[in-house]
Order: sequence, then C-alpha cells, then structure tokens
Amino acid sequence: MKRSVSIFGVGILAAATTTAVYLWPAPDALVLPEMTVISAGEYDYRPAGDFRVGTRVVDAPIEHRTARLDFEIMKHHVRQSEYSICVAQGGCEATLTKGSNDYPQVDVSYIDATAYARWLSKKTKQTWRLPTDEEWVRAAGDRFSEVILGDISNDPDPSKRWLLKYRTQALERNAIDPELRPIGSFGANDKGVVDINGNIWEWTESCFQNGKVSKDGAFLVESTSYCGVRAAQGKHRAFIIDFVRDAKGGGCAVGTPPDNLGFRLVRES
Amino acid sequence: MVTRRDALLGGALIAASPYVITKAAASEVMNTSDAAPVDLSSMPRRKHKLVAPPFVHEHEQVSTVPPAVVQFEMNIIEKEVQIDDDTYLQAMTFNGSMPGPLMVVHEGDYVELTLYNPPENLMQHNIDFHAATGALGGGSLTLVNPGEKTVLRFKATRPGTFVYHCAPGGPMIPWHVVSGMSGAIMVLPRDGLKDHENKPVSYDRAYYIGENDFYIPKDENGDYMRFEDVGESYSDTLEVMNGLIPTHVTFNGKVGALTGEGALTAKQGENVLFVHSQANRDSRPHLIGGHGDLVWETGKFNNPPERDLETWFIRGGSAGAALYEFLQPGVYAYVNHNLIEAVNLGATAHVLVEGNWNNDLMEQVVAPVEYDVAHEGKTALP
Repeated sequence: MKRSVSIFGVGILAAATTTAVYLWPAPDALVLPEMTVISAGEYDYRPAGDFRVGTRVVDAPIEHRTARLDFEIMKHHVRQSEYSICVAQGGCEATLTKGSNDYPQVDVSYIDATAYARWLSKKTKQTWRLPTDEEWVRAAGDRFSEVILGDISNDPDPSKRWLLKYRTQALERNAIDPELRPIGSFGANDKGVVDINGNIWEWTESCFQNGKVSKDGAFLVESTSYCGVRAAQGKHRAFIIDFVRDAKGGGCAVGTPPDNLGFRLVRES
Repeated sequence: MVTRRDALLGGALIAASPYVITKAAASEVMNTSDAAPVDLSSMPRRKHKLVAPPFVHEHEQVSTVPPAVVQFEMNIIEKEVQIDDDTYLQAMTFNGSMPGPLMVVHEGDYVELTLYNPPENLMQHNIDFHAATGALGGGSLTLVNPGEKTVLRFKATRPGTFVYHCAPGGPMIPWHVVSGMSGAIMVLPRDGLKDHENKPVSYDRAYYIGENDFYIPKDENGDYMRFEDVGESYSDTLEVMNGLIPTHVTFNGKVGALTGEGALTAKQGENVLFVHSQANRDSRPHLIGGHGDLVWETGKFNNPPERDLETWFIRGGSAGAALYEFLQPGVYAYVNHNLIEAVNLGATAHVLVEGNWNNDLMEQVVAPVEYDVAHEGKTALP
C-alpha cells in the first residue's frame, strides 16, 4: 500500500520543501498523505468575490500581507483510493470513482470535501480542513493565475468588460484538455505542490464576498460573505454552490466553467 | 487484430455483413432512366463550394439572375468524432461535419448534388431531401456503396429551410441520422425574405445551428464506450436509441462547439439569421437576452413570419429560421430551452455581440447589496 513515488520524478521530490510520510496502522491501510510546508512571509493577495466602486464592478485591490506562520498543505490532490476508504467507512458520500491510487478524486462537492476532512481528522486525531482561498493562493506559488478585469474596468461600457472576461477565460480554458490525468501529470510548482492549477479546480473554505472598494480602488471598505457559495481555485477563481460536484455545465448560461472539482487539505499544527 | 473495416475493405465479408446490406434498402432502390427526358441544356449552371457549419457559403439574398442548375458536391465521411470531453462517437457525416453543410439556392433553381461514398467507408448511404419531390426525397435514387458516387438533381419548388438526411432503409435510417447524417438546405424566394407586411427584409449574417441528439452507450464502469468502427457501435447504440433518451444534445456536433473560442459573433444593430435544424427530435430554440424578431417557425417562407417570439418550436425532421437584430451588446446564450438539454446535455451556443451598452433598454438600478431586513422588503408580499 505504500505509495510509489517514482511517477513524480526525482526533480519534483527534490523541490519539495519537506515531506512527511506516516503509515497508518493496519487494517485501515490509510497512508497519511505527503505534506508540503508553505513558508511564512510576505505575499500579495486579492480578496475573493465581487467588488464595486459605487455600482461599477472592479477588481478587488491587491493587498500586501504578511503571514507569521508556516502551514502544511497536501502535496497531492486527495486520491480516489483515499476517498474510497472514507466512503467504505461511512465518513463520505459515494461519488464517481474508480478507487485508483494513481488518479485524483474529482466529482466532489464542497460538502463532500469537508466531510472527508472531518473523517480524516477523526481517524488521525489531527485537524484537517480545506485551505482558505488566501492559503491556496500562497500554495499555488508560481502557478498562480487569476482572471482580472484590469484596465478594462475603467471602460464605462459593461458589455465590453463582460466580453473581455468571456474571451480571456475561454482562451485560458482551451489551453488544457479537461480529461482527468494521473497524479503528478502537471508536475510541481516552486513550493513543491504537485498538480496545482492543472485541470482540477480545488475547493477552498472561503465564502463568496460582495464588497465595496474605496473610490480610488486602493482598499476594501466593507464586505459581506455568502457561504452557500464557495471559492474553487484553478485557472480562474470560480464561485460554486457548495453541493455541486460537477460544474462543467457552468453555473449559469454564459460563464466559463471549471473542468473538474477536486481538493487537497491543510493540516493544522 | 483484423478489424471489421480491414475485413470489409478486403471484400470477402461484404455480402455477409448485416451492417452493409440492409434488407429494406433493396426494395426501395429505383432509377429514372426510362422516364420522359427533360432538356436543361439551356439552363445556366453554377457551382457552390460548401462550407462547414455554423457558417454558410456565400450567396445572394435577392437573386439577380434567372433560375439555374446549382451544383454541389458532398463527400460522405465515416470517422470517430469527439462529441464531449469524455465521449466519442463513431460518426457518419455529410462532408465531415455534424450537421452537414447548409446549402442555399433560390426557388426555381435546380439543385444538382454529386454525392461521393469513398471506398474507405463501411456503409451504404443515400440522401433524402425534404425540399425535393418524389422518390423518397431522392433517397431511392441515391443509395451508394463505398467507392460509388451518384448525381441527383431536383427542382427547388418550395421556398423555405428544409432538412436533408441519410435514409438507407429500415433500422439504418434512425441510426445514420443519430450518427450525424443530417443537414439543411435553404431555398430562398427569388426576391428574398419578406416580413409580416410582405416588405423585404435582409440579414447581415447567417448562422446555421444544426442540433444533434446522440445516444452513446456506457460500459460497466459507467464510462462512455468507444468502438473500433461504426459497425461495431451499432447494437449497443441501438439499445440506448430505443430508450429515446439522448445522452448528448449538441449544436454543431460537439458539446461546447459554439461556445468559448467557437462562440458566434455579431455587432450591435446587425440582423442575424439563425437557421436551426433537428432531423430527429423536437427542439425549442431560445435566445437568452434576445428574441426572434421575425420567425419562420416551420421554416417555410410562403407563410408570413411570426413576430417577437421568445421561444420557437422546431419539429423533429424540420428546419426553421429566425431573424433578430441585436440591440444590446454583450454575451447571449442561444439554447434549446429544455434547459436540461441546454445545460446538462450540451445544447448551448454563445453569441458575442460588440457595441455600446444602452441603459435605456436595461440598467442595473441597484447593484446587489445587503438590505435592512427589519425595514425593507415588507411591501412585496400581498
């Protein structure tokens, strides 16, 4: 049951900041996942949601933030084999899966992902949870990308902003085949996190926010959270209803939908 | 391994294969060689090269020339086609696209089609034009084996949009149609389209939306099955077909074909003609955020168009036409308004319209904002 690491390649292993592999005692055959440490330090972050100056939709301001603590995040997506154990033990709802150890578990909702986190926490007596959107951005490292309105948000015509956003997302989505690929196929980023920002959008803990930005666009004045909708992170940030497992059809008629919904967890120390 | 295709190309199995010779086909085949001749030698002739949908070959809207013999060529292509991220179809196609290309002529023209069935194909094929009169729409004059060609000529006597499809006999008919073999022809009135008051109208661009319903079998793991060749796909596909519930409903042959980078485009103020065909099953086109200004729901231009429609009905086995002037820029969704089919099964196209937003037509008066629950919203309920 001990996982082969050969598929990840030597270079990727070397890039990992730290890894920790524990064997879960038989008969569960649960191998604790490899973790990657995301270091404390400074980073830029743009809050998640819809933001306006007055009534005009704008990008949220980028905030320069400092994290005082490291945190640990799963190096890989939660695997089908891992999720299957949770289902077998009654901790998770069944979903589409082949139980493979080589493929990530997708077709999971926010509710499924958090159920898995609760189950894993109970099994391991550790605290596991989804990353916040902000933690995900830190973990995405050099793979992080986001679709922003940019200068076009100054265009007074809403249709031009809309069309630009549509075209940008369409281009970026077509760059990658949505077909599910084995764990490791997209390689590691500069932090040693594997497959982040490939063709799986990852659930985060963060709720949708509706916020007001100062007139000069420089800072957030106030915001309200709506937690029936969570941020799923990938090529662009998608806001998805928490019980949806497959968002390929899109949440509305004309958006660009995420390819696959999967997840990885953070372990609290 | 020897595939059925290899074996058939070798020739040994042709007579024995149930997939090639159909019982029903033989009795339907006829020819016209003993009928009284017609002399069209003085008719002008011209050729059109067909283009793949959603685009339409260049054509006049109001004919400036007398009736002619209008020549077209089509190759029948059997090939595996990806119809969704995780789904492949052993497709049979007119000219390699699903739907087949839109042909455009004028009333009184003669349509002369040369139909090629290339030798690498496995199946017999033919073509049934709903616009044509007699001989099963031409189907019984055009049955071609792999390696054969045929030429059919028919007079376009009725103006309108009409389906054409393959109909090679018996159970092959629905199977060929749901494997992709349908398209449409538009027979324009010689003096062009007219509105409800019989005044001329024209379009700045035309798009052809061909809707297909597909019936792809799944294996024991729940994955869509892939097949070695079209013949191998028949029996499993038939079982799904006979359940009458499609697994995919697409525009232009693939889920998402007319969205993203494939989205249709238009400009504010342009009149766009949407021709919509469905050879097998009912559909109900709807332009989200727009309308049909003038809609020939049944597609036949001798009937006055309906006005200001929200949704129009396309009967299975017909093609309709809708004319719309885009008044507001932005993204529009053109869907089959059975929304399960639109969103979950694939029947969605997008139209990207450039222009200047008009707040008179629509304005967001209050952007979404939290309200005071204690004091607001009390007056809404009776």
